[in-house]
Amino acid sequence: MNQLFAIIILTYRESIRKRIFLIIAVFTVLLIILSAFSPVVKPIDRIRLTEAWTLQGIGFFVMLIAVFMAATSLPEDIELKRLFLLLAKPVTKEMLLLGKLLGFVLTTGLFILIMGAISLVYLYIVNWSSGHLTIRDKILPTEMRFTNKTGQDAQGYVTGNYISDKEFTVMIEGEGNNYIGWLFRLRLAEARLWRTQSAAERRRASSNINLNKSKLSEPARPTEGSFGQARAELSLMIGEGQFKVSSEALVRFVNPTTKQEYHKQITLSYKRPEAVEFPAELIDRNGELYVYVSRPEPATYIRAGPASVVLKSLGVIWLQVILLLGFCISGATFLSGGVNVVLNIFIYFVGSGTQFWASSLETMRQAMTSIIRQETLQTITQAPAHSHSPEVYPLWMMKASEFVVDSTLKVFPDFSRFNSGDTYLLNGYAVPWNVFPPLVGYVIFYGIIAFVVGAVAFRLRDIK
Amino acid sequence: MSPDKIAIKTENLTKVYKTTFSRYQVKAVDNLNLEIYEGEIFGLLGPNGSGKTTTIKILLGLLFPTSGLVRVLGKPPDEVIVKDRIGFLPEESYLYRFLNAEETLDFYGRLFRIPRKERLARIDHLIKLVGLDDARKRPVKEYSKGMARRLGFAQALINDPALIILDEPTSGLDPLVARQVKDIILDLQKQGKTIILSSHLLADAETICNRVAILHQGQLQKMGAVKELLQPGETLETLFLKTIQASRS
Repeated sequence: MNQLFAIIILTYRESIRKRIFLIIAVFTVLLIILSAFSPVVKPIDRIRLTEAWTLQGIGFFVMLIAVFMAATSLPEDIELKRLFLLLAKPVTKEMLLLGKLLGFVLTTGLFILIMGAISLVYLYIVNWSSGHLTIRDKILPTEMRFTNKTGQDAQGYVTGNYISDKEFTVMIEGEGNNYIGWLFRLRLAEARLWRTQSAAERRRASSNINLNKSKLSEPARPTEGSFGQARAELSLMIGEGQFKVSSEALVRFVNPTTKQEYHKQITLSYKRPEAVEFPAELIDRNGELYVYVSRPEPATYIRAGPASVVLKSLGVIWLQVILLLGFCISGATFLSGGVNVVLNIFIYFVGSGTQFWASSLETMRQAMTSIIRQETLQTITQAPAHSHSPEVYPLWMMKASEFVVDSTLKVFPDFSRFNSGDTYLLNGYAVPWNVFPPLVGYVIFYGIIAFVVGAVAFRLRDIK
Repeated sequence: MSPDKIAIKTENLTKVYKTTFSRYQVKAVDNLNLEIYEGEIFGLLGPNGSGKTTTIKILLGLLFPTSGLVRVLGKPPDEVIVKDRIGFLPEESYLYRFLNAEETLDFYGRLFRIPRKERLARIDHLIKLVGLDDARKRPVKEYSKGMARRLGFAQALINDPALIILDEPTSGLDPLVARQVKDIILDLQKQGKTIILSSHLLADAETICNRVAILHQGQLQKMGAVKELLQPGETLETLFLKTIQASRS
């Protein structure tokens, strides 16, 4: 234990006595101070900007410390032959690796804590005059917040107004318990079945869809004796710049009179209308039906002040750094410092885009299923084969892409999981405690894998 | 010193260095058979590239031998329990430049799990022994080569080792300090410690070593007691040159 402690302290001393550590610390403080000049109108916006700005700054700079120090520490020991002397002492290579890892965990933790404390003190000072700091309230599940395309409150859609336009655009905001609902009043004259649309019509309709648009084709008006399944067609999309091309949604159909309900979870994709079937008896006698769309697992939010929010966000950042440190230390056992730095930047970069890759892959898979279905249909009906559309990649190319992306996603750690601090803060929400257990588990899982790989490589290596 | 008690034994020890992407191989140590007795000062001599440092690295468990057998204090050298009893001064000091003398010795002392009180006493004693009392708080990066060498010597003794391996212990030292180091080595022998000395300074080796081994191109050329190897009027230097020239031809 004494030996492990000695290596941890040595690593810590090595880090803080390097000039780069001091330089990074100075620039982080500079970044925090710069946030005072953010061009905002309201004090509350300044608070949010300061929080987001400083957290992003601390997150970025601590990543630099992790990569440039942890990835080069062991190769430097090998290159300067300090390891030669160190391993002549009664220290196992595994203990040395663990000590280095924990030493950098300690160093980055202290950096985050000190910079976090500075940013919090600064946050209080800057906003002293405004008299109030952000307090996040719990968002109640009954509360509805959604806007239409022009950003106006779109709550009117659920007040029972008849929707004459069958296509309209709404945007579900935030990550929380917001939902959107419509009351559909069916009129025989305007009822139109999704299945009656020709393929050409459907394509035209799809191509006209804007972003953030939900379209609900009216279900067929039930006729006497024909109660069965009705269908609704939805196409809900995610806003631009969200790095997300598909999303899970919970669709609820509620009978306005009896309150009987049916719900189904679906995956909504970019520019692809989704058909949802529901029991036709949910349409009441007046031909009315409520349809609600929300996130499948609404998050719960807590009431929290800036100190708690900032510290929890920093905790998430630290977990991300620990994960990266595991890879840096592991790579250092068999790579030179320079190569290890580049490799870990690469791992971090690819790992940060994991969610984007996963959702793109999901969309491509849906398209592939559709193409395969069409081809099967053509085989069964022996219809003449259509020439391949030049706008779509051939199937083999998509399969190859699927294999590469799928394999990459299985191997690379998902750093995008650790964006929760940013996601909550930028939307003005508190960071809940329940984000931590899965993230800690994830870090431990990948940390153990990285450590074992590093330890095996290090054990087999000659120290020349 | 007793031939009955063997501190180090190698049998047909061979180490071949291979490069990853080519067939180029170097035989750094070739079928080396050594026996080093407990309590003696053993000189490992040879020109540059003769395999001295590679042999030392194998004895310390840092390199895996390609073939052959090694026993250090009766055990395989990569066992941690063996390293507890070894003190090692490398060719260059390879110290952490950001630590000062006290911190350096404290770090290595902790690696040997020496209790705090004893550790502090030993640090104080060793700093005084190697004459770094005035510079104990200065970071190593400010040290001269000779000072760093003296601190390296101190760290090799922090665990009161039974076996001390010294690679060029007097290089970079002024004659006065070099003399002191030689005295310390002789004193350590008197305390019953086994000392392996790798050196280019043949005059030093001649005065303090009981037995020597001369290596060339990884092979053992000569091994024995200094007194027995030298002809009357011959110095170790002349013997060394003769041996190497004979090996080359």
